[in-house]
Amino acid sequence: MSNNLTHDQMKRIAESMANMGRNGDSELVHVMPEEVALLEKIGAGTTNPRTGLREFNTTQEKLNAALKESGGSWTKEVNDLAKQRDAEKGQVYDTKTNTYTSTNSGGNNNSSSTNSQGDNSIRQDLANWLTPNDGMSYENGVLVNADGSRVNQNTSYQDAANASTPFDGKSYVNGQLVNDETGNSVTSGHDSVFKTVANIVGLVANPVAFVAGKAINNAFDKDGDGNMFTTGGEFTFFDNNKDSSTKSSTTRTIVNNNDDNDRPATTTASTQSTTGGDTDTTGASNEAGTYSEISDVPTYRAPEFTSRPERRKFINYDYTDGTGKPVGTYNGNAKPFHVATSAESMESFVVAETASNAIDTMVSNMSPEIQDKLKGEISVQLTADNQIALYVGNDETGYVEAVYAADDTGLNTAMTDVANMLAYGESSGDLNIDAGYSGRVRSAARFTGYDDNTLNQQYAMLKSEGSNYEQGSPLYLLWLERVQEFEDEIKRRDGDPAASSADYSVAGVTRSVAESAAGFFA
Amino acid sequence: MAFSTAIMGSSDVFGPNTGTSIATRKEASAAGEKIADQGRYGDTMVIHASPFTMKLLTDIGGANTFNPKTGMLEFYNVDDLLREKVGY
Repeated sequence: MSNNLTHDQMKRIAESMANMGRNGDSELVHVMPEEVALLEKIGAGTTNPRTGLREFNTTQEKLNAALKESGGSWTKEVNDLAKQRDAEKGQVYDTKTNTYTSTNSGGNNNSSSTNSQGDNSIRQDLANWLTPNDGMSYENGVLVNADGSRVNQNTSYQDAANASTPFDGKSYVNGQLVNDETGNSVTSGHDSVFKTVANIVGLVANPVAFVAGKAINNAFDKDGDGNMFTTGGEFTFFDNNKDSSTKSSTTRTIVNNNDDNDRPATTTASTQSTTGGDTDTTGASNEAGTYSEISDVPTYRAPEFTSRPERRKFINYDYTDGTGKPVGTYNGNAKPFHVATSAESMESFVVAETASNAIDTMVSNMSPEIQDKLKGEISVQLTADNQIALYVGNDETGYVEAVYAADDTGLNTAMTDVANMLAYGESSGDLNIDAGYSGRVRSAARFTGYDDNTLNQQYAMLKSEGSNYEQGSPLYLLWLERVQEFEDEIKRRDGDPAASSADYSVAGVTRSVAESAAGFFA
Repeated sequence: MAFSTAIMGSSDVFGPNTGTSIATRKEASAAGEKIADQGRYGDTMVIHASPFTMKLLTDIGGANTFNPKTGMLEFYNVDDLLREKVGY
């Protein structure tokens, strides 16, 4: 056929026709008949009604388009496409149990892919089919040489991730997660919190100041409830009729005016002193009966969560060589000396108060039951070097300080991470905010969607391939990092005390930052 | 090149009412044929492709280069071309 069109005209026509694509078809491309035949084999080929050209949308793409068109409603078209997609993946969805069952087991595979090698993805089967003589093939999702040795530098965990999510737009290639379209490195496949943290450090108790503070508290904490101002966890009222030197506290909830031995604990005052971990408690009865007529006054329990901690207490934390780990940050800064200066200016006060108000608002939106159970501290301070510092933890386990870049979005980003923390607490029931909390939040986000079985299976798979890597090599270190990530998540789920420590958070947040940084340098 | 090989399934174009006039569809088909003729190294067809389809074509050995005449991406088989040119 003769062609009188110039190249420029040809390009314009091509562009115009490309615009007639539908369901995500954005390009018009030159292909070979063999390639078209192969695409037809997948069974997705249809004809574009406007151009008459073949198009090869996957069922998933059609499903996405149908869902978009229906505004998210589950129409008959959406339902049919979902069924078709499941059938293509060899799965049947059981609406009663909300589970998928594979139809590929037992050799009864009805799909057109008759040469499937175990758990290969469609792409991997396709590659096998196309290049039968290249000395390599995919077997069970892993690219191997003719002698069975691995070719791909992915871990089996990464290969499994590729096979299980073929349409998510991301793939692991030689150990790196890359964007399918651009080939550039991308960050974790899951939403990650703490990505924008500029620095992270654990605060461990200073042996001198912290113990001194405790001793003072204990001297006045008559009932041993951990707070010198409360009795049995409740705010107390001082009896002004008594001499100040012998002042004791009682609560207005006393209802028992009997002198028998089963009076409530709130009627008993005690003194405690702590030396070297030993506790000496001396109990002393007070005049409970004196207040027996007060029985219907509602009590107020002090909240165990606060967004307004005593700022100066952070001075009492030692970053460098305290009573435990960690002593460093992911970027090598061992001592962020800007701490505890937030109350020094109007601006720092406003930032801290604004953040506290926002945190309190978030907490107030949680259910009352959750609010009652929430313990610990989350606060934001402006530091002397004008950065946003987020403190998370409690006095028992210490705190973690996460620093955010001092730009316009710094505070917003920090508050988003706080919102994620509270959302995690509400959904998981993990409401004891301690030094390890940030790490647990990050780990839970990283392993969203992994049930215990999947987690254990992938962990076992990952562990088993450690011998494939030369110790100390970059791939070995990458493998080790992944192993630690899995182990941390297992600790979180098991309630391991290690998951409450500051170093648990430092390690977790550091991973989050590292994943984010990997994207920057792609 | 025969029209039928240039545009697979083109007979479907003239089926049910697609909301586009027959004249326009014929015109588009003719344009598609002309564009398909500009393919090289074995590329004799044009199709609509999503990013996923293009990734697939690249994965299976497609060139993923630009055709100098049409400016469109092309996915002729690189191995075949090398075999032909270098003779390995």
